[in-house]
Amino acid sequence: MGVLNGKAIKARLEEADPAKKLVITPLFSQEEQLREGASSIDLRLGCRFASTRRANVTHIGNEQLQPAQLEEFYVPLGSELLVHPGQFVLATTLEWIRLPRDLAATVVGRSRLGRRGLIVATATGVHPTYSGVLTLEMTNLAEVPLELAPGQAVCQLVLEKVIGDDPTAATAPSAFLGSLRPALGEGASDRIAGFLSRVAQPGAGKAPGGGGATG
Amino acid sequence: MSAEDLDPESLFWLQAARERGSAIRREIARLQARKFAFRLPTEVLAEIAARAESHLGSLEALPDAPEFFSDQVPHDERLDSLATVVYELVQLHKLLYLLSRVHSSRLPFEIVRPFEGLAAQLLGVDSASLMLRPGSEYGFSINSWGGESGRSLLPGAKALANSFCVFCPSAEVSNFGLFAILGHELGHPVFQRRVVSVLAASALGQAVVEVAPEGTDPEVQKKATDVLGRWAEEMFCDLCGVRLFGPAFVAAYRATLPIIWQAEGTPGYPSSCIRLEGISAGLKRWWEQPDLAPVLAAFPPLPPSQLTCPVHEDPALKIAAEALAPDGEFLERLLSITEAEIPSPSSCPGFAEHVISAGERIELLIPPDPYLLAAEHEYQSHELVAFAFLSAGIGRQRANSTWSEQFGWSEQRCSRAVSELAMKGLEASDLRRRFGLES
Repeated sequence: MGVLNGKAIKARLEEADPAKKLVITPLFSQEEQLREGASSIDLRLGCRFASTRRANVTHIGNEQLQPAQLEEFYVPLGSELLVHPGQFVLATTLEWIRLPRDLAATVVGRSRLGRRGLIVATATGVHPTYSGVLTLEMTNLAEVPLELAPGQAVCQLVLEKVIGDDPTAATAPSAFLGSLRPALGEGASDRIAGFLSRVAQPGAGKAPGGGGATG
Repeated sequence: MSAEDLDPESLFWLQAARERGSAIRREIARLQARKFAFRLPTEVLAEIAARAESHLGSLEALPDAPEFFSDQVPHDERLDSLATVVYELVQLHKLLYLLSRVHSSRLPFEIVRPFEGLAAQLLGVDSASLMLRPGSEYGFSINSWGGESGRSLLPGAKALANSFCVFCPSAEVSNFGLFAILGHELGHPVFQRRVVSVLAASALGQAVVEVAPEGTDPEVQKKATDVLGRWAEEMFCDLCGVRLFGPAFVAAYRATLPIIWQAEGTPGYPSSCIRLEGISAGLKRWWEQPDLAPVLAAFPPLPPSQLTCPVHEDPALKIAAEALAPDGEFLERLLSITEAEIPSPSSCPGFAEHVISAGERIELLIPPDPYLLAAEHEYQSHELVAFAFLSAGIGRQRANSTWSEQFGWSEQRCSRAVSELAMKGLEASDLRRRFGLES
């Protein structure tokens, strides 16, 4: 894999072939969001946020957190959101991203915000063919509340070329695909985890698929 | 004489007014602690708070107004003034209730600003404000804050000029496609502000005279004229929706039809059959063009054509129904008025091609981009909004089969993704346009 520089990102944004085109919308100004010499593109904070409903969630176990247990809220452009010390909030990028088959991306929090105590995006990898706004996991590690404004630059997207592109491969289904709101992920069933959780139980020992371990 | 010395009846009204007043003050404080997503509810709340404080201030000042308790003020007059304060506070409470659910995060806030632009364009004003609110009815309706009731409750409130509260069914607030119905709802203020004067009572009366059987009772004719006036507003609003959104409006109308279906007309609404004939005439006139054929093909057709219009038993309703006959002059007149008052995106060069290609983008999970259209043509709000709805319809048709095969998505999941793509496309285009205008 190789990281795309500003020129390569620009070329991908202007690519005519939909299979190779990188989509970032809204993109207001390539000059300002894609600085010369930089190998990333700035993304902005969106208006939709979510946090866990404290009143009716006792704890979060390994089972899936239900969307209804999230409290969504909308902060319009021109308003601010205060993130209190220790608070965890799911945010979104203002931009809708669509990666072509041969590009992956990494989300990196802005150092300016990091130095003020805000950790942005812990699950930083974005797979090829992803399409949707990015959900950002944000926590304020500072001792004082931080004010955030939808529309401000919040993170950077570092794009990488994927080696071994298979143009015939179907778009991978993702729980986060095609979403405008902070997404929890719908949680595909993890058959191996299920097996591993049963392995120490009496009578267990068969591998997934029932064929037994083969080495 | 002081408040304590009042007669029991006056004391009862004074205490009631104060109690209601403090309850409403608490409710206002509770709502003020919320952050509304858009400026209109915040501004309306400020106006309500100012008005309530004015009433409450007058109540609180009463102990210092001995003349109010003296015999100079007749007993009945005193009761009347206290009852008026209670009544006005209760009316303000109704407005507060409207604000109580406008923060629902499920609402499609992304469409608010583009629709505000559309409303301003249709009304010919510099700006308009819109507030979305989930409602209890399974349908859409519009409340003009600046209408008679708003003006009487909040006289002089600047925030209310050209501002509207749109109610949408609570269970469908995330269903983007249904919001094409707002084409109809925005028709109401246009009709009341501009069309009423064009479609004078004399024209309605003439239409009635032309179809009424000879010797019809003048009272029946008068009632038929009133009914036709109200039906004309509904028909104009339907045509407004068709003119703006074409098949996207028809699809939204079709989706809500089982709920709003009206076999026979009432004095307020024409039968669904009459309305469908009007919609069909508008669709044929403005959207059945060769280059728009692929757009039309992506949407479901009008409901079954074998529906037959009922014969109204009420003679006035029967006359009004005959005045609105499909090939009649009155419907033709309504079509012409709509044409003159409402711009249509279907005549914009290259519109259909852009819409079709945006539908293809949706299939690729890329938001439609009305801004591309704006870059090539003189940009108008109605084109942007119609563009998003039409491309969502085409995208939905294309995506349903692709996505269910590719991702195993259900029809509902596909529908949700199309809604979110269209909402983001509309928001992104609106922001880029504003950025371009500022730069």
